[in-house]
Amino acid sequence: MKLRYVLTRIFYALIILFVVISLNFLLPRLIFTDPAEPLLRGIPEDDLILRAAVRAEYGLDGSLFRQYFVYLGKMFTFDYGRSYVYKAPVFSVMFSKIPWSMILSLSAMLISVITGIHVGARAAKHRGKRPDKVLLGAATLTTALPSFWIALVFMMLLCFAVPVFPFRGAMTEGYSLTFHEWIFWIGVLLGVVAAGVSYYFTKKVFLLFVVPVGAFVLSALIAVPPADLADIAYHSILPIFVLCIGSIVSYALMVRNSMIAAVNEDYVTTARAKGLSERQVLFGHTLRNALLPMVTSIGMSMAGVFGGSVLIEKIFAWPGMGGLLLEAQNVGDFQLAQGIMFFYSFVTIVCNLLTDFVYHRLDPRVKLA
Amino acid sequence: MSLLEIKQLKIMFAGGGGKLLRAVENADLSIEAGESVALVGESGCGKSVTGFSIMRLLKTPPAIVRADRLTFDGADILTLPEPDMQAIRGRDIGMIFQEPSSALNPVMTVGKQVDEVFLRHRGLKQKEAREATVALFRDIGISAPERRYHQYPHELSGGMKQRILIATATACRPKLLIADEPTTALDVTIQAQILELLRELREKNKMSMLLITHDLGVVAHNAERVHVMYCGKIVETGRTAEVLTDPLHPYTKGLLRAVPRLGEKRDRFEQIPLSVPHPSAKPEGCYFHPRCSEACEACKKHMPPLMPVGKDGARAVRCWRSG
Repeated sequence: MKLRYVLTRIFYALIILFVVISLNFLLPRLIFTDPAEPLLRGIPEDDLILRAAVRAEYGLDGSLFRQYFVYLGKMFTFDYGRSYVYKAPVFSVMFSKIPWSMILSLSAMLISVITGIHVGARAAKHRGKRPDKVLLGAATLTTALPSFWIALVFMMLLCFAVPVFPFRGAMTEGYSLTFHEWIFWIGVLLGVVAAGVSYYFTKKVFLLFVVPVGAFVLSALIAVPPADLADIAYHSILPIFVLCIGSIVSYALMVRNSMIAAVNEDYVTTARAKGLSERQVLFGHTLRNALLPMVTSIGMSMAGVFGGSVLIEKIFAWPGMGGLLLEAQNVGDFQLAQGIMFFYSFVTIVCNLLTDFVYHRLDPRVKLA
Repeated sequence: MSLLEIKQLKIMFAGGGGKLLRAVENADLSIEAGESVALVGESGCGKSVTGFSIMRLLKTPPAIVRADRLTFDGADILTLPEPDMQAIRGRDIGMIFQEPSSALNPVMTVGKQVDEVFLRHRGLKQKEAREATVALFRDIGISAPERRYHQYPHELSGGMKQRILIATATACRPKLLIADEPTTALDVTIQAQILELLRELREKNKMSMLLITHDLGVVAHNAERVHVMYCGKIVETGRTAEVLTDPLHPYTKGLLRAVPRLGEKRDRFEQIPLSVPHPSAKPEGCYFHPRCSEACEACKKHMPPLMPVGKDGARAVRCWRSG
């Protein structure tokens, strides 16, 4: 890959990040009449000195223009503020929530990508026959039904009517006590580094996906005591299942359509004429090309893996990022909300950038511009 | 025994409403070791599907392939188990296609695509396959073979891509090469180079060739015998020189009149009136009679048999008027 191309893309990404940071400054000031109001609630009206001190502490004094520059200064010095609800730095609050979100969303994504490829390839192979019809029917159904509704229906059925699964939380009792976050984050960090290194030496793109996921699973296994592991797994079955329903179908549909286009390509006939087995043709030529759109789709949903699903986490009272955003928004903890928004946008931008690079490696026809 | 023997080949496609479309009807074709045979006809006459049926690459269903005999080097193509057929494809029979641009996988370097043949049929290691591919590129006259190996199809010209495909098809020195319109998509100058390359390879490897084309100009120097096909039936066969200089079937005559010749001044090339009928609407009697200037009453009612001409049995024609 050309260095110039990489640098240009990173430059553009930085511009987008700057715009997002600026919008992020405006949002709480547009949503709340005065973002300082929740902070000042307990302070007597006449204690003007304390009030001014609180305003200054949170960068809410002076003109909007001045506030903006103070805010930018803090952003560039990696000071993302403190959550006044949790009485802790915003990022340390988020980093204790992200692993919980990842348990749900990463599992759901793995399951739905793998199942989606299988189901989609099967439907394409039997186009117009039963597996295909089932998939198309399921697609109509799941796109028509909102995910929170599906979640509520399954909750009613499997938590209350037939109480098989727990209906709320990630563990039976207190979940933050036994979870060694720092072990988890060191593991994830090592995983990302290992992915980069292994890719650099082997040039195998799939390592960029497999290694970090493996590191995540491994570090989660180490960070959580074995006794709690089963409990967490038990609590996560239903939310993961609900998350999977929609995404399996959408991945499967995508694979089905691009497979149908790919099997009729001339190069597939060439591959057969070489004497390759059906398996070799499928994995080396048909599926390889049909999965290209999947890369974009997975790249775009990566941000959701860290960010979690607001609705599903709320419904199952899951202690993840989605719930945190909702909480910050409800109590007016504007710095926490700002921090979460910043994190979402940052992850989205980075993932898009990586997707671009990976896609270029997978499909050399993509122009370097 | 011939290298390739086809007797009474019938290829049908299951069309809509349970109808069977007959693409090839009772075609006989044989190729001796080292021989080059051309199969000539307009688009849709069944010549390409004949080539595909030899490789057993037609999707069944919708295709239905029947024959009294379809053997390659003694092996019965119709009943051979799939793994054995895969071992023949690419090793004993190579095939090249009309459209070099779409016949190569766009997301794989061309070198890797040729490697696959060596990995599959020669049991080489990845590194050995790479060396073999580069050596093959050099043999076949591909410039800068080391660099080409790492290039993607979209970085190469049409002629270069066709060379790569020829390299793929002939990597294992097959006994038979099926060339399905190998030069149709290429410039005239590149056409000549590609045909020259095919001739060299045939001589060097003692390879037989089935040349499928609509261009009688290509046939002249590249095939010893020619079969002319119309609407799925072979209408004339014979040695190339005889067929081209003394065509017997009105269809062959028509095709030849449409070929431009050097030193000849013509405002317009003659064309055969009307167009090829759809396989579902073939006329009664001789399929060619509505377009034939020599047609008589018999032609409208009865399909003529393929009648031998001359003594040695090399020539035959399917026409009431030339019988």
